[in-house]
Amino acid sequence: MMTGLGYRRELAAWIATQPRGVECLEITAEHFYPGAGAPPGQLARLAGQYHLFVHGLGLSLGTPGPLDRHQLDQFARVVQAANPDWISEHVAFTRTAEGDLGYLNPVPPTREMVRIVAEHAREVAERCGKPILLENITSHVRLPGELAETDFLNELCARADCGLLLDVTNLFINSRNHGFDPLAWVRELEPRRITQLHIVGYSRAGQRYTDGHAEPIQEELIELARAIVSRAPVQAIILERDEDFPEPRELEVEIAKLARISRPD
Amino acid sequence: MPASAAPIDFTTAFGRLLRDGALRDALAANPRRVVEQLGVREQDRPALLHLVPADLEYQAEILLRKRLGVVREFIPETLRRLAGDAWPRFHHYARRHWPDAPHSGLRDAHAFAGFLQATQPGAICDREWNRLEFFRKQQRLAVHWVRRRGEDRAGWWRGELQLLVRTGRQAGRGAEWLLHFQL
Repeated sequence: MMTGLGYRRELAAWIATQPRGVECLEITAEHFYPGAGAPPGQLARLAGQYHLFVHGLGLSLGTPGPLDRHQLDQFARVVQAANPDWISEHVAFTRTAEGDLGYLNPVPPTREMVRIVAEHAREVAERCGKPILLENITSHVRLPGELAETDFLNELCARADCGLLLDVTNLFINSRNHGFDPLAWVRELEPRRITQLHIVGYSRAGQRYTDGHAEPIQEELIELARAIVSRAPVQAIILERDEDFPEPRELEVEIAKLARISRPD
Repeated sequence: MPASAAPIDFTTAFGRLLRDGALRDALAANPRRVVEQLGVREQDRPALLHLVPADLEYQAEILLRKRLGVVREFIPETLRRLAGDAWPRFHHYARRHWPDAPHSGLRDAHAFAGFLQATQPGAICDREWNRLEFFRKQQRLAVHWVRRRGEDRAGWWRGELQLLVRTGRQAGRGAEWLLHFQL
């Protein structure tokens, strides 16, 4: 299992030094769209140094109807430049036919939604010529549907013929906010689909757990990740820090913790 | 909603609820009536009726905080002046107003600044307001004389010549340069 982190411009100088333990990078496609401010040639340089994965935020796979062609074209151009091992997107919607919502929102676990997301995922994978993984999100609402969430994800991955990017932090947050056992949830998933993990410390706001992407990884998340890795063929784990970046030394400690999940001392 | 309008699906209805605070309030007060008025497909109604108002509000708040993060890139000084009042003021504005794409961040920042002009004009940084107006009107060149409160001595004001130049054809972020001359 490779360990790595989400590429962020605030970390660019440190990442360029090829710090110990960082074997792969996940880049966010939208950060490399025209006008987003990424220096020309940066993707090629990163691809020369690391295994890359391209992660999308805005393809809105859960929106009924056709994918946004402009978004898909931009995403595909980033994939072409980065030549990643695989690509990933969320099981979510960020826009409706009436407008953009700006961020990820949950989809109901229905067979109709399995079909919509799976068809979109297949289309993205075919357009990019890369395998695609689908990621579970944090949701503060619990949507009922015909399927349990885990059955929904299993059916979705089967129908899209894709892997699962299991966000350990999102799972933990949802389990706390909605009162279920995250390990039991993991045991209901088809293990061979779990290809990649995301992890970062959770935040708390009152009684709510949130994904601020701004905290060090808590020990219970490490334990949950270890339990997942023990039962699934996980190929990569990515530290997904977006804000309040610590000193490089602290990031190296976190990366080393992740490496020990699959290679215990 | 006219009776002849086509039914809407869950995603469309959920999206409307996330964008519109007044609609969320109405749903919390009378869910069946709102779902009926929205014209939601029969098979999608149970999911909407099942929504817990506090959870829906929190989900919407996540989107509003993301919006504030984008708006902050356009008016950092204004938000710094608002300090702890920034989120309540933005929440008050944003819960009732959702910008349309494209360049929605710029439009959102401009609309929020307009809201502040009407409710708390002293909070707005003149330079940031000028910049928003310049971008929004897609001007090629603008010159402003602005006064800024000095930070070194109480009661002092500084004059600044603010020169805004757009060099590219594309409007919005990334295609404009901003130059300041401090006198």
